[in-house]
Amino acid sequence: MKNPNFKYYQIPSKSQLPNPKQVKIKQKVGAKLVVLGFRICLVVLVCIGMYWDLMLYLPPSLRGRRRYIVFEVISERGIDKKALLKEILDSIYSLYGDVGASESKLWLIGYDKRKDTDIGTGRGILRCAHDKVEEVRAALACIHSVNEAMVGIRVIGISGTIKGATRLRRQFL
Amino acid sequence: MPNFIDLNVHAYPETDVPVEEMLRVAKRYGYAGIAITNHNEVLNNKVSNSIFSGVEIRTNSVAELKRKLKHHWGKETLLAVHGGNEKINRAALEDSRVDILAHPCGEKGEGELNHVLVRYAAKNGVAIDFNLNAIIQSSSRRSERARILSKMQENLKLVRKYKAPMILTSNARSIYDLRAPREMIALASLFGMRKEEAVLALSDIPTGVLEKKWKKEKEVEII
Repeated sequence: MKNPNFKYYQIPSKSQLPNPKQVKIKQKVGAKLVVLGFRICLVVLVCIGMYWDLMLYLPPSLRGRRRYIVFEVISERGIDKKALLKEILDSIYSLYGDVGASESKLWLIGYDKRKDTDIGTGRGILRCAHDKVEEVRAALACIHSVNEAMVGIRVIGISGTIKGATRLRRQFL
Repeated sequence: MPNFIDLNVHAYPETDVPVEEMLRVAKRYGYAGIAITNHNEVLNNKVSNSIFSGVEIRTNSVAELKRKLKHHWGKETLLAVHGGNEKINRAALEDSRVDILAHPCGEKGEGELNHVLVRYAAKNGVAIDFNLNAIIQSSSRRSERARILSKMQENLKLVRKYKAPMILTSNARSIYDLRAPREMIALASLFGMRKEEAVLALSDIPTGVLEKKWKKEKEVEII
């Protein structure tokens, strides 16, 4: 039996096809609209972002006062930043406990090891609360090994800004 | 800036680190000089003026301590006694030839000082040493460090009461055990020593010990 719905595919005549030029124009307009929409979205997002930034960051008058400690590490071999930070935090926890550690607001901002000498020496910057510098100094002095490599840490200087601290770090090369 | 001196450092031949290396690191840290006190050994070659040669006598019997004191006395700038044992502590503090009683509460906080001994120390001009290396090295074993710190607090109380000379030393065996003067002061504040006291214990009192200041004062009094 012949299927009544069956049709051979017929090649459409030229008049039935859309004009390729018109298609191109339509596509162009679409692309322009998309770009415009994207830009508007971007501007809106940036505005929202700026507003959020203002909301998120504490105003300077409310921020805690900080000190930046520049220190030098002499070690048997090179040590990496992660292990050093873990050791420093362990040291301050074991010396002053959780309460003392929370008050000191300690964080390792940067650490780099020098490659030109045979002994591993490195310099770094620590951030802490402005009235806990001596406590942090004692905690740094208590560190005797990192990853079973013997180390000695010395504080080079203390600064109130990161800019001053980086300058100090560069000076004592 | 005061002249900081570390009076208890161990170097070659007792350890692998040569004296020059120790001195280089100590100078970098801001010390004016160090005294090499090896256990029962005398440093023969004097490298520079900032190194003071000394000896730390380590024995278990009082008779041997007396014999060694007699042997070394007058030859070395610094005579230290390895403390810790109560009998040795007493014998060392009673003898005016001794300059330093090193770590009187032992390297692990086992020994003790009492009011009688500290009075002897003040009378004979024997400097009592606070060994900060014990605090540093015991940082992984907390109960031990707590014990050492409490012993040091008690010693400090006695030393303040009888005005005996006290010094802060690193007792370093390698360059990694040395600590800069400011760090030593921060460590001393852990057992209650004030900053001014700590500065004196690192600078003026060690110089006085090397010049035998307290011994001379006693001699004048006797004459």
